[in-house]
Amino acid sequence: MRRLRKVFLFSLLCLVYAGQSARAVPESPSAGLGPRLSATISRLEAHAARLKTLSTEFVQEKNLAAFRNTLTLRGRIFMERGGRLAWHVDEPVRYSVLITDKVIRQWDEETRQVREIPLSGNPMLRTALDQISVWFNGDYSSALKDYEVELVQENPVVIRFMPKPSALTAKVLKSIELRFRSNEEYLEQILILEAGGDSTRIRFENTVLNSPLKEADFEVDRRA
Amino acid sequence: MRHGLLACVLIFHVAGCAAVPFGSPADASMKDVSPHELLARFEERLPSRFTLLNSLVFQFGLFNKVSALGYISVDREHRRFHVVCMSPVGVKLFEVSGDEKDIDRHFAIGDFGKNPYFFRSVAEDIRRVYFGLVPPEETPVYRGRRRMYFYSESGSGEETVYRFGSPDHVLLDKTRLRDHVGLWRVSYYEYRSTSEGYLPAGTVLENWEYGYRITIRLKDIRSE
Repeated sequence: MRRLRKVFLFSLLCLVYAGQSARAVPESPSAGLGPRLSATISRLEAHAARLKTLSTEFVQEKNLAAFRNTLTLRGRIFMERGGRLAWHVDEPVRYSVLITDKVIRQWDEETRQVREIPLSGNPMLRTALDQISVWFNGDYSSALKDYEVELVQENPVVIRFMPKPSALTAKVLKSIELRFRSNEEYLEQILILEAGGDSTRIRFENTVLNSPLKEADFEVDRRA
Repeated sequence: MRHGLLACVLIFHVAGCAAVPFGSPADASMKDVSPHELLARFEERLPSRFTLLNSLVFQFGLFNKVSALGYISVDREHRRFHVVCMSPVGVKLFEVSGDEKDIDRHFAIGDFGKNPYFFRSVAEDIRRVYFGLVPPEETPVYRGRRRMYFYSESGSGEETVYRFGSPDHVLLDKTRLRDHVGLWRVSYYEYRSTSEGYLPAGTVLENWEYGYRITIRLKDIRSE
């Protein structure tokens, strides 16, 4: 049962982190990239460095290769840079997870239980969560060890990460495409193409950057 | 003999009623209902093919619960199914398809695929829930005041008891027994008349042999 829970948490991490598997930043992250791509990534990281808090709604469209229909999930994300991340799913089921530097706490409407997993003693979770913060903080250079990167479009910026054959994610992941807002301050959508033919598109809507967040935004059990 | 079996079924039913999150079916007299007509009408109202989005709760023991999303396509006529199970954040945990006998393993995250029995038990549970909803013709019947019981022997010392009732004369549950000992039971709650046919909004599978329960809540009906 404990293993089952870990698999579920791992699945969340897969989604949030979207396959980045390496923290190690190459000595020269942009080495080997073309000058336009290198300049673009530097510019995006400079924008991301100014990010202190994030509040956004999301629409997540999951297309399963075996089915014609799209599964749509809706919810909200709140993040404090270097602090807490709260991921609330509102549809089709209500589910919340809070990730801090010490603990993961989750709740869902079906079990109506709050579950807490301390990060001490879970080094794998710890590592994965560290990587989540890398993702939300916009440190895209750190993905270059495991991914080939290409600039798909410049205005608005679209960059695509494709796992290198040696990357652990290469067997399951085809590409991750990040589309930025026209002001490049934050992501507009993430498109994840899986090797098996499934795809996930996460659109961020009503995104607010660097505004004070409420304590209630980080509570999972207030929905119980 | 039959009354002893009926007593066993009732005991299992009462014992398992606690904490079911669905409404109990209303009572209705079975006095003037023909078993043959009841089965024919029920079969007629069942959809032959359908695709559903469900929420699932896996429960082991009293307090260990894990929730998930299930996307399932069922072809009752050809006895085929295809299911994708996802975490509440929409990450695929496993995917399997099959028919009455065989299964095709498509995907499993993490340790799920390492257990040789995992896919087989998933397929068995799906067959229990979605196939064999009507007992074979000429199945012996016992008529209670408000319920009708059909006893279908498998020939290997096992027996399936189908319990019909409610004003709509629907299948309330089916219980599998071996030597009068319950192995598993599927209970169906809150039937809805949908564009696809008659479908339960709630389903509970209890596996006494291996000590787990799966609660399935219908979230959406999809047209494929």
